[in-house]
Amino acid sequence: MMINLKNIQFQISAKTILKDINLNIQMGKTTVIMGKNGSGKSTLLKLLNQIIKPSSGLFESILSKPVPMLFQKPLMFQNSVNYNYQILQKIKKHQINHFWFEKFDLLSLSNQKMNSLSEGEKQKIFISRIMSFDQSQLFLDEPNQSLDLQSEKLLIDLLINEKNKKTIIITLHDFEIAKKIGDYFIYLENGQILLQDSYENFFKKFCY
Amino acid sequence: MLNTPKVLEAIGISLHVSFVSTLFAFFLSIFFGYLIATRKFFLKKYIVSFLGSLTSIPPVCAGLIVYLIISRSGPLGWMELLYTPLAMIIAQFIIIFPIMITLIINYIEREYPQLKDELISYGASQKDILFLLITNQKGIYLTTLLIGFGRAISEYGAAAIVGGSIDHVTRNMTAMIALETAKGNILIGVILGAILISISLIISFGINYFKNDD
Repeated sequence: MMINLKNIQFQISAKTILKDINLNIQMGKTTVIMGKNGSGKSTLLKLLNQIIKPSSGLFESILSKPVPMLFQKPLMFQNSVNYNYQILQKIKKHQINHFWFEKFDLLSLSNQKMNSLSEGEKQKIFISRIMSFDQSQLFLDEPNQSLDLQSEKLLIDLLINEKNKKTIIITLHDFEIAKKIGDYFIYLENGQILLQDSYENFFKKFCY
Repeated sequence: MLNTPKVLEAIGISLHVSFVSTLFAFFLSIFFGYLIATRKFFLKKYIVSFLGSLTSIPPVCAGLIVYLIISRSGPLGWMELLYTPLAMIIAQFIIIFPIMITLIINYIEREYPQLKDELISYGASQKDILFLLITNQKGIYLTTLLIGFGRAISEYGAAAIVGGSIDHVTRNMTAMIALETAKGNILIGVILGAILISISLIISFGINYFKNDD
């Protein structure tokens, strides 16, 4: 078990964002968090990565500190693609690899200004930036947003390739993508877990 | 008749006083703006509202307040600051500091939560976060700097009260325009007015340039 949550609540200014969260994240598995907009998916992901602390409940994790995570609105600097790709790597001072950057064919964009790119191109840079750290845990918040079909397919293929080596926790809206990469599924509604189960059970129950 | 050395001297005094007051206000705005915007503390809401309401303080009132403090009978009268460039710098600082810090607090409060969350995941220190807050949108800071400088250099009332428009010492452009026009030397007034307008236009151009660049 990598992360264990018992009766977790999370509140901001008396507003409850997450309540009664009981959850085990298994090491080496891909956990998919789904739910409507505003259901608390991103907050749960940030909580699992220890970026925010629960208001109450028991939180246990084998990770001692947060790891670089793909946010829904990632940091974008008013500068070149190269600067955006490398600046956070300089902070982390971590061994990096350019596999995803090359796979997404971003080398030709290296010297372009970020604000001259499409949203999909930016998203590919943000994904490559996170993947360059080669960490064994991945926290990804809607990584497929703004991607065209071809890039989305490439993303899924690359994630399927990674899932055997890593623990992945990912938020998604698309059930088809979730089915392709997920081992364990969580469905959130109004900050509560409505359903959580392994592949077969989850989709059997969810259909009904 | 146009007295070129005097005109140049007035321009020099204006630039010097406004430049120093703006730089001083800018660095303090960044320092205190960052502290206020990134921390939760008692009275924060009231301090931010107070600073916001100070943005509309009439310059002549700011001058009056500084005058009362630094005049001979005031609490800082012993420092003999009245009618010195430093007194003008203080008065201009009081006018522009609330404007600059309010702009910076608004920017940091908007950017900081997202920036902090993501940078924490990279193990960034507070120093890294401050550095990236500044370098991420340089245009915001340059615009703040230009707005402060523009307001300082074009201000007359406060600088006139505490500066006293003393020849060779505190007679800046705005004071010279008022004085020479009152004396009937319209040409000098017009030339200095044109220079002041040019400076304002250059500043406006700079603000728009940086806005578009972001």
